Amino acid sequence: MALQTDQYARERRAAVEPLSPTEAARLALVAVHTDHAVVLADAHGVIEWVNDAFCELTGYARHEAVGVTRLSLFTHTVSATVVAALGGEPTERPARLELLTRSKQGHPYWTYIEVRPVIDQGEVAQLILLESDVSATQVAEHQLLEATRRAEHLAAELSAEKSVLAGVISSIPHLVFWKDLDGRYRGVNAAFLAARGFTDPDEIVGQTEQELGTADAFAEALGHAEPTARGGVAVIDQQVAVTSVDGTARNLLLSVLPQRSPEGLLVGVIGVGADVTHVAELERALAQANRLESIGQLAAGIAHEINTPVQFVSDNARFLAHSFGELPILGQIEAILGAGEGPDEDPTRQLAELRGAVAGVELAFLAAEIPQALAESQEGLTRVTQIVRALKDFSHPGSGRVETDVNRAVESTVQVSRNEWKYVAELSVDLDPDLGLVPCYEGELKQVVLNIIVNAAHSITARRLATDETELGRIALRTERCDDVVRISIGDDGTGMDEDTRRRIFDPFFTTKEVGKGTGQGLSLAHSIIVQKHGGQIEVQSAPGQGATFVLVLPARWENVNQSDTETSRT
Amino acid sequence: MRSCRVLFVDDEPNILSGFRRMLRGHIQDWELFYAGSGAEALELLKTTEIDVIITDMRMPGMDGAQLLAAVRQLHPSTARLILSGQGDRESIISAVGPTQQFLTKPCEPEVLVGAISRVLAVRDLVSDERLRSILGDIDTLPKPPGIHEQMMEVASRPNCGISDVVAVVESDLSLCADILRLVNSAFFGLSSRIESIERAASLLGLDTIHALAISGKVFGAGAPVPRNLDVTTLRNNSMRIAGLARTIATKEGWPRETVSQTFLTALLRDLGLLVLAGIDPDGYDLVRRVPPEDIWAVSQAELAAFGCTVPEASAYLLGLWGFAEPVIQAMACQPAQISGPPVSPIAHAVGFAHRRLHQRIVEAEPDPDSWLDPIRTARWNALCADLEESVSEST
Repeated sequence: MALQTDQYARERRAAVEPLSPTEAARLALVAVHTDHAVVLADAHGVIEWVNDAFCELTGYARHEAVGVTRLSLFTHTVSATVVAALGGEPTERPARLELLTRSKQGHPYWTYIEVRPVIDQGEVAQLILLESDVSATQVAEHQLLEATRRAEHLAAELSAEKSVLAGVISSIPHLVFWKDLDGRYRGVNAAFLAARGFTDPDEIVGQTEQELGTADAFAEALGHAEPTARGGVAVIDQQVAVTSVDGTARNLLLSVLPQRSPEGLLVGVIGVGADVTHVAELERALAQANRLESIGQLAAGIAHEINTPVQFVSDNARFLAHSFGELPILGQIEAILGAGEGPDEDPTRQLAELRGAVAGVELAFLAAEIPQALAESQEGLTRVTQIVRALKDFSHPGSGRVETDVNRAVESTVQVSRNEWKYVAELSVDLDPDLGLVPCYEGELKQVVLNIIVNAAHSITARRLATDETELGRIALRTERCDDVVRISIGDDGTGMDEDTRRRIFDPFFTTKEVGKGTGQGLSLAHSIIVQKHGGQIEVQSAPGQGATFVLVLPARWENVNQSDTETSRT
Repeated sequence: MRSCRVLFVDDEPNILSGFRRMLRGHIQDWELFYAGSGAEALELLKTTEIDVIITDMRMPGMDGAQLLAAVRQLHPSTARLILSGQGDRESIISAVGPTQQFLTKPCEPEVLVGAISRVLAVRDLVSDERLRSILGDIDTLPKPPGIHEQMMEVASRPNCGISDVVAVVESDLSLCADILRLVNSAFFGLSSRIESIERAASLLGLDTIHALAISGKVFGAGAPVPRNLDVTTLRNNSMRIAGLARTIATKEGWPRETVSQTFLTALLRDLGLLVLAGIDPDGYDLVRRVPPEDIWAVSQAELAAFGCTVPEASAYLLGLWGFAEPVIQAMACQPAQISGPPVSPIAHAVGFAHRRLHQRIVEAEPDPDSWLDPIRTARWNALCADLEESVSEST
């Protein structure tokens, strides 16, 4: 077939009129010097001439190319379009091709081929092929395409991410907001809107808290945290009280954080508020349970404290009843006195009767014992009264944070716990008369003091058991006022504790006592009551064998009591 | 003979002076002593023989349980009572070993005086001071090996029921006595309603039984079981007598309290044997040779071998432990006299049941004026025959 074509091509060439020498020279010059590869072929595509650019582009020498078709120079299969344009039937229509091909040496490149038929007398006489390497353009185009595609993809991803993020923020059940440095809201989530009684972020965004003018105490709640965050310092987990839309009190755990640009500049603040109202309720319930538990523990001891005086008071009452049963003397004395008054009555007979009545009775014994029995009974009744009053005092839960007589609270706690310590320790109380009234949650404070006293007694018991000690231990309670704080210290000479234990004592459920002796809640509760509720501190000094001293430090004035605390007390 | 001596110990001086005044009108023949602490009490005991000591539980220094443990060791024949204002289970359990009786404050004078009187009364049953010391030294009765472990295992089961506990308790007379002693104590104050071990166990409650099993103080092994004593037969016989006596008391329509006392007397009649056979195994061998149906000969042999009869020793123990007076009296006069001072219906019922165990038919007493006349004897024989029949049918 190829042979036939060659044959034919030669015949066709013979039929072409030769170019004029000037024309040929001019044309040849153009063809030779152009950067494009130029191919001259007959109507059937058989190459008659190629320029140097062609040889350079395709890697074929001129003599290799001339006499064959352009198509046959492709070393790979090509598409039907290329076959139609370059080989076989001559066509009058020009064609443009772009395909990835290889040079003779196997170097791949993108080639652009323009096929121009030369029409002579209505017939295709010749084909001129212009070829160029468009690899660079192709790659650039590809890159551009890729880049565009990537950008589109990224945009899609970003918008998906953004909607996820928006969904996440809005579905967080906590109140989320962000503001600029002027205090204007930049954005809020759904929980924030709902909690504050708004429906659309547009109602809030762009406004300051003052401009919103709501009466839900939110502005006050932010009052301290926001300026701090604006100063670049994060405020974490601050308990604040606000009012919900329906007017009920809510407790928020509020964090306000500085927001910075990528360059590190402060641009605003981000706030997150968690509604911990039910957590606060749980804590209250736990504290209540702890108090009931310790009252339960105390009950046996208090029963003993009451049963002892009841025993001797009733014994004395028996004795008195018996004594006066033996001595119907009052009637006889009356008779004697009555007899002495009458003009003709002589009391001698009645006197003799009285003597007879008391003859078998040790009068001296009774004279000594009766007043003493009465005095001891009186004392016993006073003790019962005291313990009952202390118990009542102790059990009174108090109402919020109010001015409290801390000395009295300490004393009533010492009273009700008497039976817990009196067999193992002597307890001394040194109360500062100038303590004054201190803003306290009284019930909780007494609970803490009780827990620490009971721990002290247990610790002394443990030490005495370990060392077979018969001497009583010591528990020392002190209250004192130091400027703006009051200090309640409770020291014991029990076993003491090592550093490792000391670090863990405030952990919930941590206990060194045997199973069934303690729930490990006492000191953890003490910590949350003194530190979180009162804004105070607990100091612990202890070492093994050195006993332990707990110092409760409480703010003594309302001014030092955190704003948020007063809020809580109002609820 | 010197008068009875009673020592009160309490760290609260007002309590002691209250006792002094209150008891003044109640007693003439007691000599009363007072101590303000355990140490003071032990000091007094060095020089003075004391019959009964009554101490408070919680005191600084030595507490009541520690004091009584020391008294048990140094002066075992002194009866040991606790009078505590602390009404909680833990303190009772902690003192259960050396303590023979618990009383709780506030305590009525009649109750206090009654408890002391009963303890003093049983001292006449056992005249031998040495024997009194041995009986007084007992804190837990001898038990077969392994029974404490079995009790622990059952009580620790998560789904343990009363019937599981009862099965173990009823398998051994010592355990029965432990349970009854606790239920009977003034702290639980439930003695009038015990007609069975099951009732006693449920009155005590599973929690308490569990706590007691763990403490090891009650159901613990105690002294080893006497080598020549067949505890299984002893237990079987005791359960049978108790069943017969209870049936008689119930069918006679006696009050519930009397039924309960009849049951207790019959069940614990031979409890003393656990101790006596251990003290003198050779003497017990002699007693064993006497045919059991010859009740009087057995009683004589016991007296000769041990210095008191088995029911007397049992009554002494129950007296120390504060069991009700009718129980102690009915037990102390076993075997019930044919002729002699009249005894209570309880004593008759227990005596009858005991004889019935060894004799096919209990003969009517020759004295036609006896409370246990031929008609009653015939009726009781018939009751026992019915019961024995139903028992043998069910097995």
